[in-house]
Amino acid sequence: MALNGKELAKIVDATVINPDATVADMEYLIEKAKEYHFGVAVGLQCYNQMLIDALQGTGIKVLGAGGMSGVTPLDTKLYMAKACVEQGCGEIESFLNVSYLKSGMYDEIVKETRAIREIAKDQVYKVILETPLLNDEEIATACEVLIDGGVDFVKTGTGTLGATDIHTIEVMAKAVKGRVGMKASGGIRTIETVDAMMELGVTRFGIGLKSALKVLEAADNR
Amino acid sequence: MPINGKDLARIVDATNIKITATKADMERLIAEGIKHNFGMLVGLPCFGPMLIEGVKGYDIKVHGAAGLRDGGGDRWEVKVEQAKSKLAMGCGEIESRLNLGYLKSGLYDEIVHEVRAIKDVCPNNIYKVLLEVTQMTDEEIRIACELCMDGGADFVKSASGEYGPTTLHHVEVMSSAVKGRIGIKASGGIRSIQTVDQMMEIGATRFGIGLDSALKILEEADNR
Repeated sequence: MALNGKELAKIVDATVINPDATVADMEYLIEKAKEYHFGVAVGLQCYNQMLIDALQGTGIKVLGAGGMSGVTPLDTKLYMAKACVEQGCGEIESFLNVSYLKSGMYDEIVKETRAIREIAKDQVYKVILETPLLNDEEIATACEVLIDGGVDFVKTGTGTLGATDIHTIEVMAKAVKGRVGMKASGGIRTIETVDAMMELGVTRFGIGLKSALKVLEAADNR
Repeated sequence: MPINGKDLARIVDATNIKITATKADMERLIAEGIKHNFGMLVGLPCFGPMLIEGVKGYDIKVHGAAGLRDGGGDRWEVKVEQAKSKLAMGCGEIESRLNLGYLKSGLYDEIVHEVRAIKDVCPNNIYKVLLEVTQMTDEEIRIACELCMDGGADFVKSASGEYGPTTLHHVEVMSSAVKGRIGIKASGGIRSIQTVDQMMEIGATRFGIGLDSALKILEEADNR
């Protein structure tokens, strides 16, 4: 099922979130998002209003973050999720509390996930696992716990801790069994990777803007 | 006069913020904190209440993070909310991250506004701003320090360590910008008493050190 560039763009969350991203970087993200019609634009949260205003009426969603990290306390995750929903973000992502997972505090994770789910009831809600920090069993447990929590998607990672590989997607697909969506992100740079991951059931991709543009081009030229 | 382990512990924020750290690691942070009488403990924010409970009755503060995102790219309202929440919980000091994107975009007023807004909710607690000096030119470090002072921060903090260590040069630049008007917390890759001594010489009055390195350095302080 080889997607062309136009179809692929719809399932790519085009991302610019380097910690020193500037206003000019966001302007470029907006320009490219409009040109290629990505499904979602992901920028630094402090620039969200600018992104939402600029993409008004285009059908391109802006991502809101419910938490800066998995270890952000729950009350802050909820505050942020609420603020993002009110602002007009079309999708919400939060981070799995990896510390809780490794401490065996699964009930805490379910409780937290459901609470954020409740706030993001009309938005697509994804939780980031940061798979480079987890072994296969932990990935499977995390997926189970998050499905319990009511997520729409499990997402592999941000890429800051390492790239997502095919094996990780295999482990996730085996655990998820199609019950929720899988978003692959982190070090995805080629159409071959995208194709291989789609084969395994991935239906959404998080790709840095520069790489995303290259991948779209490759999609049209194969 | 070189500082001994006991006195040094009082100006060390002993830290374990690895996201893979477990509840057991936080228990160890508390235990070592009490044993060595560190001035402050910096643990995972989601274990804040546990840390605060654990050091009750001791003269040890627990750090409160107002924003965690690398580069400080969270919205200022969220940072303020976090500061409020951490204080209410019982955290003794607040730290936020400077918005690096804003700095590099020249949005200086926005930075001052943010720092001011956070300081306004913690008038009676020490508030430090983490710069990430390894991601800045010397000029940017100077500007960042000025903006933090303008905003009313009590300390500027050099780095998290995630993007490389703080060097002596970094502390020198911060020191010449700050001119003693606010405090300097040096952190990120500090692993020896020599580094601590040198940084104290040029004006650092607080240190952020990973727990294991901190224990080693306290011992070195007593054995030189």
